[in-house]
Amino acid sequence: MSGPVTKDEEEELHLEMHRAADELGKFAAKMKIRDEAGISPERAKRFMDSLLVTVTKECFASGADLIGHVKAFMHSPDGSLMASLVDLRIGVQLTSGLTEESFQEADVILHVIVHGIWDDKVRDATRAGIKKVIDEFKFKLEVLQDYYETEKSIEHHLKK
Amino acid sequence: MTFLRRLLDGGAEGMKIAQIAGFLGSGKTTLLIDVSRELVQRGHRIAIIVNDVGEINVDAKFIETYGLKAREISGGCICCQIAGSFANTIAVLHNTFKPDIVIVEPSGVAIPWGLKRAAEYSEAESDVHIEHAPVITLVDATRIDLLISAVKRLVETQIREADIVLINKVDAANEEQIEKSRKLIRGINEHAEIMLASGRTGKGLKEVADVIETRVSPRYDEAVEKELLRKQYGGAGA
Repeated sequence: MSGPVTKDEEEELHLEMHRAADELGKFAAKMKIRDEAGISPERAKRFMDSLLVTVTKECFASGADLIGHVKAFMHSPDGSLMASLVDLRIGVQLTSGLTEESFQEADVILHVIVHGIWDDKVRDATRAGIKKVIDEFKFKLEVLQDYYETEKSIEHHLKK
Repeated sequence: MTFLRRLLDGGAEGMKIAQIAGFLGSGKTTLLIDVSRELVQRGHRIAIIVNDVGEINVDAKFIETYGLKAREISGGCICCQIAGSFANTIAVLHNTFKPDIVIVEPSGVAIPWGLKRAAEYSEAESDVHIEHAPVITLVDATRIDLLISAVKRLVETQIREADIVLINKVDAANEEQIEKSRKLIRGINEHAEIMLASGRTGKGLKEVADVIETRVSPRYDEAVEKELLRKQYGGAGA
């Protein structure tokens, strides 16, 4: 090493590190799905599988070249269901804590993290994928919250 | 009596921070849940902190379905931007839940050495003495080729600062992938221990629990962190 590191130099290194590490496009959404006719556990599983695969394929069609992690957590009054996808060849891994009972509504949190496209494209592809699957399953959808600002996580290092 | 006693350090109680790092989809959350349950069975009081740079967190809610104590910290990286929130969370956990081990799943952008520093900030907020378990980084053997081609630099960063690198999903990987993973790790970090694991078969689970339970990693050292940053990202004197 050649002498002490200055504060500015340290900040530059830190920012460079974050940018190098944070090279993945991200989007997250919290949604409520509803079907007054009832959602059986099996239908919920098919929905989660289809949601992850469809959203991922939309991202690849938009230029993504690698899945970081695409995952979703469903929570209903009758339990929860976790779905995870890291490789389309392997498919969606489901971990179910649902009971046998059908339910009318559930909250779903979806995380989409892929490589090769930036946040705005991930957002658009994910929203397109959500719409397709919601239409296919004929659920009512309410988006409670969404998020896609990757740079926000490192803005404290940016010089104004 | 477990090894992890309440440390007496000027009267402060000891609490161990265990980091489980790794690229997205490498099996961190699954390992974290399984190891936590194993440590609970051994008589430990475990808390879990998960961090995501986004504002909507999935993992904490999933972890809690297993009856484990989980806290989420969102909206930034715990090694720097929200280090204060992280330190405060540790202090509050210490004052209320009194875990003897806190397992941390950092986001993909956290630096292990920075996270150590952030954890030690909690000593100013609570009567606690922080010690660290060896930093464990997971590598997904089944995706090693994809990861090297697409996110080599990120994978290198996570391996470089690890004390132990866990080649995960070995039940689904072939010998070539495991060997390639091993060579990659050794080329980046010649000092790291390499272990094999599988969430599906439970391989490596008890060994990881043993590591967290019985071993320690050095406390934060500013000079070490700067040297690691220089080696990875250049700069004067690199």
